[in-house]
Amino acid sequence: MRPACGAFLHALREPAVMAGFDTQIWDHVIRQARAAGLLGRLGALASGFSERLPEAVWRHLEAALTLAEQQRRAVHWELGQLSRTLASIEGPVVLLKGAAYAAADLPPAAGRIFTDIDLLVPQAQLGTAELALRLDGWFTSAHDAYDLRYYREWMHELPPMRHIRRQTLLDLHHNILPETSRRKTQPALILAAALPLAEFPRFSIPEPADQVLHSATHLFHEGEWQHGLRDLADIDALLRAYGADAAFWPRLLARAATLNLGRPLYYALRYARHLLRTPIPEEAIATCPERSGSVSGAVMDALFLPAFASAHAECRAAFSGIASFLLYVRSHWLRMPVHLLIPHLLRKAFKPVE
Amino acid sequence: MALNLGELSLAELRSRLACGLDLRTGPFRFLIRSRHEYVARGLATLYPDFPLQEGGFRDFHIRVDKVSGPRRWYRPQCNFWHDGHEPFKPLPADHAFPLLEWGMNWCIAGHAQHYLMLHAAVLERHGRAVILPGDPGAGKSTLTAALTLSGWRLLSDEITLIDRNDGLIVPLARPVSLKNQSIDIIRAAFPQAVIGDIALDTHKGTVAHLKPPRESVARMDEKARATHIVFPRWRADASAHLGHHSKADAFIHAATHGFNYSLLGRLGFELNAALIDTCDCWDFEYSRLEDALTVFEELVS
Amino acid sequence: MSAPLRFWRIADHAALAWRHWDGEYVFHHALANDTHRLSDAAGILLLHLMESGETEQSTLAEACGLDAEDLDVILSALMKIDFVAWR
Repeated sequence: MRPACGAFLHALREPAVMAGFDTQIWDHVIRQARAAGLLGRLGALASGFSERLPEAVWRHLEAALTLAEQQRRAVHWELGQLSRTLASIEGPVVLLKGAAYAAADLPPAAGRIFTDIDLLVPQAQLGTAELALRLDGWFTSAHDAYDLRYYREWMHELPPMRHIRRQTLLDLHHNILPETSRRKTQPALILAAALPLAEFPRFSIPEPADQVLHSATHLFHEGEWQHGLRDLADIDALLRAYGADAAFWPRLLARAATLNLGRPLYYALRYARHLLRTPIPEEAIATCPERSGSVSGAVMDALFLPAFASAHAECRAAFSGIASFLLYVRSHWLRMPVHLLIPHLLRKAFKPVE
Repeated sequence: MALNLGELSLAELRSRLACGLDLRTGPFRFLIRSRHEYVARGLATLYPDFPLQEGGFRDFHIRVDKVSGPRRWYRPQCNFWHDGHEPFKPLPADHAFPLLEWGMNWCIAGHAQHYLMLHAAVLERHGRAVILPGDPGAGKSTLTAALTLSGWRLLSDEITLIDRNDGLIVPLARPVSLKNQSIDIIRAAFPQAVIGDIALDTHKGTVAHLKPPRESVARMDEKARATHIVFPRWRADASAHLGHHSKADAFIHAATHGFNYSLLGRLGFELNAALIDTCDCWDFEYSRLEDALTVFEELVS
Repeated sequence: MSAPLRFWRIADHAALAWRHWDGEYVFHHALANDTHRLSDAAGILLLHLMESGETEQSTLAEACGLDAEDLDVILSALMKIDFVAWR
């Protein structure tokens, strides 16, 4: 990675160094952080010594924190409303990712900005949940029949729903991998192990190992590389918090094997350690299920590392754009069989931009 | 070495713009890149008193340039970039300077959540700042320009910034945008006014900008205390008069027309409320500019 | 036969903030992040609940100088915007 990117990553790994950044470095770091969706996280990491930062710089960080705080409040309000809407659902309703972090005040929540509320329900409850949401003023935002089919039949989601009055976006899932994906997992196990929230008993969050596994699976299968580094930062925050307990690591690996999510976990561990210096026991990486061999590992590095940097032009290596595209194809390759993939990508390429 | 933009020759200005002109307006530093002649001319005409900076932290890295592609010669277009992103659709190439101004407004309104931002003009005289909320078609920009040219200090013509720590107004002192008939009215009433190039047929009609007075720019770091909120309305043949405007209504108006009231949550409520607490709120109807200026002078004396 | 007693309170986590100018109130609900402009009667009612805590409906009517029907209308409106709740 280019020198201009070094300071930004350094700040993520060792927040205290920010107190020593001069304004020239900040001129790069603020823009890179914004492009990566991590401006709020930097703000949270620097909030303990904000008076030592240049005032103009802190204004930008505080602005991002203001936005994150607003979303945290909005999630709490939304969950209160949704508790009533989804009262009749049988079985747990599990919050995923940003909404889970915000609702349970988990480590990745600090300064994090997210757009949708992600919910996981038992497949058998999907219809009931969708109906209950519709009755409460939520409507789907898919554009046409093709999109509708893409979402319903092939992916693991209904199209995103939006609340008519509050404008909140919600994604209802019954699996964490799409039906068409080559890799299969068992969402029922995630639901069974989920932990109810004290503040909102209607909702649960995945147990700690599953939080890490879901985040890793989402990162490496969704194709949203613009926020690749942010998702990796979430994983880093979770691992730093849970990994302090030595018993966590064997549990994480065993769970990865059970859920058949060894490969995404391996990538998560590898790249979190490499880019963010996440403390990970050597043994965990060495015994991770489905860890890739050294040859395909090097190929994957060449593909993934530039993609993590691709958010901001200054960090983009010459091939990063291609790397991003290849990863996007790879992510979709993982999700859809080839005969479906090509027409879909073509269609995405030519759909008129709103 | 503190240099003002006006101390550069046009050639130097163009050359700086090609790799990045570092300009400060109030609390914001913009690094502006452009190879478009209208941008250089607009800046030379309207921003000569603004300080240039060298290196360090810039709030916004922006660019206005012609868009390359098949339309480059047939119906050339220009676009605005903020740090590599294009938030707008391209515009006709002639509209490059208004596009710069709109882009700068977008940067501030979209990112400066550190402040409470109202959609209003604000000017100061005798230590009292008067806020003019910007309902379209109300003649706000004509009034703002007239006051600016009659001894009032211009703080802002579009975005009123309120400091979250002390509730004071933070100036930008940027050019006043004029539309359609405003341009002719101001030219006629103030022949000495410096007005930039006119852009025809923009989505806002015919647009031009008024150069802010040197003193307004020189005092861009002096915050001001708001004492009045005035809702102006031009009406043919009306005599200039002030009428009572409900404070609760002014509060709701500021909140709904603001840029980030909701985003600031409880803080937004408190800042907005503090403003309404300390300001007298008025409706103002007028037809003749001279009468309007008299009424405003009385308001702050 | 009389209707069962209803006890009204400010909705949980509302943390209402308010201002009063010339006979009109504006209230802000912290959790919902909604701001509303309310009449004198509604404002007085909310202030009473904020000060006295949970209040039975008829007591509320008397304390605020409202007849039963007016109170009903105001309470329904306030409930709709999540400012008040009852048990």
